[in-house]
Amino acid sequence: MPIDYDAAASLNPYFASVTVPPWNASFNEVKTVLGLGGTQPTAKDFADAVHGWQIDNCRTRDDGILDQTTWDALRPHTMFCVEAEPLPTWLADFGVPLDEGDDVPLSGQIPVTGGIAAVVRIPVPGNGKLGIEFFPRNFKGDSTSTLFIQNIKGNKTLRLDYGYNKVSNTIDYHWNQKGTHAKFGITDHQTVGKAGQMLYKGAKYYRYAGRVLVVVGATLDAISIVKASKPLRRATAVVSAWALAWVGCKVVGKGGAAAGTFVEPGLGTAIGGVAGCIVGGGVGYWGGEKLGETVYDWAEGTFFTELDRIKS
Amino acid sequence: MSPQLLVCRDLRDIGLLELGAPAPDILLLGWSGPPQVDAGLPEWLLGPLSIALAASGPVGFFSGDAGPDATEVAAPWMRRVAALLGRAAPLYFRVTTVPKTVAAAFDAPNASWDMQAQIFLGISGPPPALSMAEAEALVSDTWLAAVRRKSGIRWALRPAVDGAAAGFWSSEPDIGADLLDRIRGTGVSVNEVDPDSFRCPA
Repeated sequence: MPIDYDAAASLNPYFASVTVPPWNASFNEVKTVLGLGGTQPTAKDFADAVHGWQIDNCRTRDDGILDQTTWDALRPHTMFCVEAEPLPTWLADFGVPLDEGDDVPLSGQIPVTGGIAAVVRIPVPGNGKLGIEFFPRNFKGDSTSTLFIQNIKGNKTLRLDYGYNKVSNTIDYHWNQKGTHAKFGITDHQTVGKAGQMLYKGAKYYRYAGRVLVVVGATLDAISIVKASKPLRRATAVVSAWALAWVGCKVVGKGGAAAGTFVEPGLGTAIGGVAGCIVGGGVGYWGGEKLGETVYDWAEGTFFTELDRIKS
Repeated sequence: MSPQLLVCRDLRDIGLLELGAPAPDILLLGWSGPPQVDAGLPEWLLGPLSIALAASGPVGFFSGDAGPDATEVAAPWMRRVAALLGRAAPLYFRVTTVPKTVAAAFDAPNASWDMQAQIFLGISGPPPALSMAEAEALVSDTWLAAVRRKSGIRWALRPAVDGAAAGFWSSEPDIGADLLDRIRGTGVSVNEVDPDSFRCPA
């Protein structure tokens, strides 16, 4: 088919930066494969060379445009290094991709980071295998308490409660505890101050809002996989991001709980653990996303060559 | 303050104690004694109460642990999926006549006494088959109606707010009187008091 040079002149610079991985990063190798090595091709020369390569390699498209499909076929031939040369002006001067503003990549990072502490059991260092959670460990599933530091069986608990207090004989904010006094030094029905009240109220809303945020994050990530130009690459990044967010929440949350316990056992434990979980979850998500993309790109760019058989 | 079991027949504070609606056949049970560090029953009362309950016949209770005397509470499919994912524990209804097992049930996994997720039932006849909805009703504010709907239940002991008191219902008044006599028989002081003394024991 004849080349539409106007289209090629605008689309080649565009695809140079939006293909995965972007081919402008391998421009000198691309030039060499296309027979333009050592030259500074014009946009027209480049389109002609791409067109020629497409015909020679029996591509279904032969429009002179190096889009993702053509790049996927061409890229395996560019796995070598040549001396770097400056990009031609028609490519270097091409700024922001034409529709970048309409194609901001979706990611569930922010909502997942914000809500992760509501769904992950944040470990507390020390004996007793306690963890920070926002729901009780009993079959009833609800309680007037909103914040729990408890073991997996739910029979060792330090929980922040609001209701009738047998000791003060009034309705107030207080701790209830069983089996955790040695660790936190808090007795059953011990009344809490202003900070405890605020924590109770914050936990009351966060335990639901956090879960909603995680669902929103999961939805955004699912959409991002469906909309991605390379769904498998995006899926790898998302799975990796969630896994490392979970690990980050647990590890940094545990450190935060330890630091918080040092400051004020109970309240400090909960605040430190939740803050650590959010920070660790956020960093873990970000790192996991990058790691997943890197691993995918590495695997995709790896080719195996059959070795000659050795006669025995 | 010497340890004593407090019994109150005036139910004006039953709402405050989160024991549901008043009913004439409920006894409020509380206790006074040295300050408690842990929630739930104090050690001096746990043994005598367990002995007295077990002496009345088979005692049923909830637990996350299975045992030779356990029947699994039928759970809906969503809860089964959650259990497979480790997000929920299975629930069993156990029946025993051993005082030690009754005492351990006050600390049962997944059925916390101090979070009002436990109830003790005096069983006559075969253990009742329970669905999860029935189990949840038995530990809710409408526990008494749920108990009365089930046949073969002679009495029920349900924790009040934070497990710091309890409500005792029996199908016949003699059952409650016998229970208090058995507790007295173990050497525990049992005193009937008015609501003010019940909430603020001297």
